[in-house]
Amino acid sequence: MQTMEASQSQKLKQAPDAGLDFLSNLPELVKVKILALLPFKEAVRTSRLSKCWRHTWFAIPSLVIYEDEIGFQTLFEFIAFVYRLLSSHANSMTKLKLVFRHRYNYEKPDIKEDLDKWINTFLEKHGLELDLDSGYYSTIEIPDCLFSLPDLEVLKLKCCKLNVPKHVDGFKMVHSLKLDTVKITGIEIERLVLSCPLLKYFLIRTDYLGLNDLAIRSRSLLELDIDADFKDLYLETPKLVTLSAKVISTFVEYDIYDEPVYDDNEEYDFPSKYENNISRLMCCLPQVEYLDICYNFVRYLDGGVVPARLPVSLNLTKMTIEFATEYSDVARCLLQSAPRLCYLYAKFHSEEIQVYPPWLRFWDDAGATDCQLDRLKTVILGNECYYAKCIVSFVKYILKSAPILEMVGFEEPEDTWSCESRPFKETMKEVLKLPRLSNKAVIKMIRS
Amino acid sequence: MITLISSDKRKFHVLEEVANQSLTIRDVIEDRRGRRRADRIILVTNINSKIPEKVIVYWLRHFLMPEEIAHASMSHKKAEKLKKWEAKFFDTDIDTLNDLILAADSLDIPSLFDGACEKVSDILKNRSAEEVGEISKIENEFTHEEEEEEIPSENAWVWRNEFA
Repeated sequence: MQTMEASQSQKLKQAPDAGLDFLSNLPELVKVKILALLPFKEAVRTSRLSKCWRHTWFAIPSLVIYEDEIGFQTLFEFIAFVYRLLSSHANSMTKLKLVFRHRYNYEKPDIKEDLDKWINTFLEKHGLELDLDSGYYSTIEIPDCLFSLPDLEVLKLKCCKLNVPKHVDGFKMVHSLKLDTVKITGIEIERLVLSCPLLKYFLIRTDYLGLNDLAIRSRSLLELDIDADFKDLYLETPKLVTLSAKVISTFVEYDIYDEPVYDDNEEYDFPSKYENNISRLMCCLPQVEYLDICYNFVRYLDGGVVPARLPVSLNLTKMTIEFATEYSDVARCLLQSAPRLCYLYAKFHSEEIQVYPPWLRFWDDAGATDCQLDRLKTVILGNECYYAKCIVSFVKYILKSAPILEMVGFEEPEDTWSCESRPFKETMKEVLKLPRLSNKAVIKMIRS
Repeated sequence: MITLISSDKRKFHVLEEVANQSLTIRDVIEDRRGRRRADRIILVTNINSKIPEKVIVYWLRHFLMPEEIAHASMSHKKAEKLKKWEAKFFDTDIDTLNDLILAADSLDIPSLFDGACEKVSDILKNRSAEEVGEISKIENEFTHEEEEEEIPSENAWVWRNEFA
């Protein structure tokens, strides 16, 4: 419809003069800005508009190119395009993002040399943000020249293999580092983090540690997201505000060709050499405000002695925790050490039928002596919680120890079948009868 | 109160706090502070006829809802309302948008500039080069050879599945 109108209006103005060509009269910078807002492919198509638009798109400062974009027929064509783009790009480049197509295991593109050249061009243009995704399974090896980028501020790598040289100058300006599904050893991670004096955000997702230790030491780090198969974790991050921690649930081994061998039956069984993981780790995080820990990490923390209470963390206001009845100890310890907690999201891991009976009433006795949840306002319970054996006891504990509680929200089960199930009905019936310390407390169902 | 005079000699009286949203005007006022009343008149001659009204309407709407609030503590409902209002505001023909961009660029009003650029890119999105040429009345002065062979072969991938 709009197109028709447009073509009609053009017919009316059959003799276009320079004044009618609106967009071309915009300053070059404005044109580039508009192009930068378009999807990259459409921005390139503007080269056909007119002579003055022909090369405008070369100046787009932030380049995001996907190999699986409709149009690229071969990897070779993609590579040739990137070469042409980088060699003709006029202005300084702020961002370069290259995403390769997902490939099968046997298809390994050999683009290390190309990457080497591209990174060098990126270096010449003083690029700030580099983002490489080599596509699942392909695991491209990142060339060493990556470590010679002095202006870099943001680095994101996905599905790559990274070798950190022994003597690395480091990224002096990097404040955000994201290594997703990257093959890198624990020692290399430690070295890399140490070489970034301004690092604020760090994400590491890897199954390549092979049960080796992981140490993260940084004086500037504010946000840390770990998902790795470490044996023991060391944190020296005094300024950390947000910690999100996971442990990869299935243990992956690599064969002699460096191919992963998946064994789903083998559960991760914490060979930690420490007996006090929870106090050892949590005491290193004096500034932490938000804690997001998943089931396997709770199991890791549960190893050995769990004290009644840790040194009080006054900053902790928000917590997401996934646990099971038999790991209630960790949850209790954390709850009782966080007097300023405002928001709690508790997920429950699916449980075995058999649970050692005393656990069922575990929360009945917890914190009975003094009230520690003075600021807690919102509690959300994840949608598997009806099957948790300790759920009634847990909710009872929350209701009786939080004086200004406003809501306990039960996430609705995803299927209607679960709503009709017995554990669900019984749990809700029992929970609604529980006494509440706060007169504002509401128990209700919420959408997840 | 300051006075803006447009290219067609019309006068607009605007509160200083409102006009301050233009960084250019703010700097001018700052420079002339403490001087005579006549200096509170600012010529904005590089702006086309109906644009000053639009810019002032935009200023007033945003003045009632300062930027800081818009980002930090504004309620969800108010943010939605402002978003709807902006969508309506920018829903004009491409000529007006073009003038708005130029005005926002020369008067240095970042939010107006970004908003107008975004709208233009929305208009251009999902259209073929011919359609864009028609909408923006760009006359392509390419030779037949360039048009048919050179350009399509340069970046062949972008022309495949043009309408997919």
